[in-house]
Amino acid sequence: MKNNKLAILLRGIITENPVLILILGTCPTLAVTGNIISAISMGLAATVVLTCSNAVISALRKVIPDTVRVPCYIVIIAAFVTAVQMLLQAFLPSIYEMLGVYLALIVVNCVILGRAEMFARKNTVIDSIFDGIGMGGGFILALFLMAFIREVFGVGSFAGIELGFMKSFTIPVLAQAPGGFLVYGILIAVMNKLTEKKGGVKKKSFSCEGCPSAHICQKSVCIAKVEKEDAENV
Amino acid sequence: MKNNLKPTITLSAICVVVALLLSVINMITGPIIEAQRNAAANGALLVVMPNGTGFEELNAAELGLSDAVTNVYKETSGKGYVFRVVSNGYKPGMVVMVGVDSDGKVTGSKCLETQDTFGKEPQIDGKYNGQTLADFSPVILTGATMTSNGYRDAVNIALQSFVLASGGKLDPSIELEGKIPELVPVFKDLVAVEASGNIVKALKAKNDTGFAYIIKNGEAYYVAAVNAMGVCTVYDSEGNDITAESEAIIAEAKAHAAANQVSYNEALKKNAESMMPGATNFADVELNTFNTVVSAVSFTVDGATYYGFYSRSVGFRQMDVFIIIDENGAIAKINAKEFIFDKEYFANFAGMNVGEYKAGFEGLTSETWNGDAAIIATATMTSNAMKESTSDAFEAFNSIKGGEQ
Repeated sequence: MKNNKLAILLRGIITENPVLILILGTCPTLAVTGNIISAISMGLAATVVLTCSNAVISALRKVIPDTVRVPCYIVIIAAFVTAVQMLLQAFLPSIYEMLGVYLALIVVNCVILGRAEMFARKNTVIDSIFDGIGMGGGFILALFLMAFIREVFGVGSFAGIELGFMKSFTIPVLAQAPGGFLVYGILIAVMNKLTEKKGGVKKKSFSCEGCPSAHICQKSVCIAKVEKEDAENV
Repeated sequence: MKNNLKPTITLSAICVVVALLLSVINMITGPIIEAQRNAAANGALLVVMPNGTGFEELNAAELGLSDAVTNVYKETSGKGYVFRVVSNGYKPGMVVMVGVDSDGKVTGSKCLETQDTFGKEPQIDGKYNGQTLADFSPVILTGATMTSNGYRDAVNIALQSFVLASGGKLDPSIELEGKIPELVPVFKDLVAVEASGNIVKALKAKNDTGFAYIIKNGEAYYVAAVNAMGVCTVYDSEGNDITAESEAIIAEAKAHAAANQVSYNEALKKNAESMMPGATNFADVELNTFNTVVSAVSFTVDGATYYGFYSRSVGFRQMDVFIIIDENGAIAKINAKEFIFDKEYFANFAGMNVGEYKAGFEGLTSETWNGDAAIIATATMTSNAMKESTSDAFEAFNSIKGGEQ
């Protein structure tokens, strides 16, 4: 039981890392990783929203009809995002200013809606909370890694503190949008290499086979359906 | 029907609960966010009034405040006012923001802009905190007297403006001080100097052209103006010239001026000797004119009488203009220090024919003088100062001749 909870927690951080394995939440990942402070702030805000919305969605999973589940999830997620927004604006205005429009965009962050759809609606409240914390932790870790590389090597500072010894060795493009894509790609490649030996999925083709989320969604059903359609076409 | 109803009710219920929860959070965070917005909007004002919560801008002209007050803000909960005042330091254009609380005490002051080069203004910021108009005590920094004076004037104006803005009336002496520019317009850029006796306030023209005093005699206040040669004129609170009946006031004003006036007589004589070789029989001349002429002498050259005038007009900066007029009222020579001939400041005019320019004044009389000779293209301020000095010299000459007649 205890190991099961730990597995849920760790899964989000490493083997099912939402950013580097599931390729979710790409927009804020690229947008706020210019510096470490904003990356961690965004990660924490998303984690709070993710954990709370997972818990509420899981608690209401038997009440919410299937036909309106996505609108219900969106309303719940939007409520938590708005609450976080108001609290940050009131008590941490500098962080609120720093995150700008990306804070409101957590509403449509695929990580949160994705976990509601993939996990919370099928699992208990406690498990969903662990999943939220694990996925949030993975999101923070990924954002931190990207921000660390982009800020330290792109700007020559760490969390806004100038690193004198780095000033002559900065690669300015890393702090720009192309640098964000570059670092993101490299990190995904490294993560794939590291998880490959631990049963990770190779992403070599398109469709379900190539979908990074295929192994945790209804992969077998989906593949069977595709195969059936192919057979009929033949 | 039942199948359609459940999703609708569920989604509606979730929306209602969410709206309620958000409204609770909004009740908690709303006032804090609003306060932060106000704080950001009034950031500059809060520097000088830290306990202010909101500010509303008022019309300075409608409140009857001095022209030096460019903006006035009222603290919305009645904690006081913030004034943005423009005064003159070593150079004009010193902008100081001053907060005054509802008790008339300075809550803070900050110099926002200045052209002065010493950069000592931040050392004065906040030094006036707690002072009122009644116990006003200037803060003067060593080595930055003019800057300190400009700052002091700004705070003083703010304190006076507070009295007017809050519906009060200024002390008659303060009100009378506001009339000085109208009564003695030649005294530009007056700065306060130490007062004594019945002199409530002593003001000195920065270009040394004279003094203006607020003097208390009995219960009434008077303005006394003393020119650089010690001639005094007295006005009552209505602006009437009462010089003839104000012996005691004149004596006090002249004594103060004599002790503080810089004498330009020797400098004038030296220049006159240089400009008019053979000049002799120098005699100081007392003028009753109030203009830029700070010294006048008469002298002779080969038996002919001449009058020399030393004018301190202000062009691009302080100028010293020497004008020699013969006994027929025609300009014999003119010279000037530190104006267009100073290459350091007027490099563009390095090629100007200075001799020709000066010669252009020679022979002009008050009748033929129209100011054209003083014009220097693209140097308007210097030209205007030269015009003013020349006109003032003619006025002084005519006053001498008028006196002789």
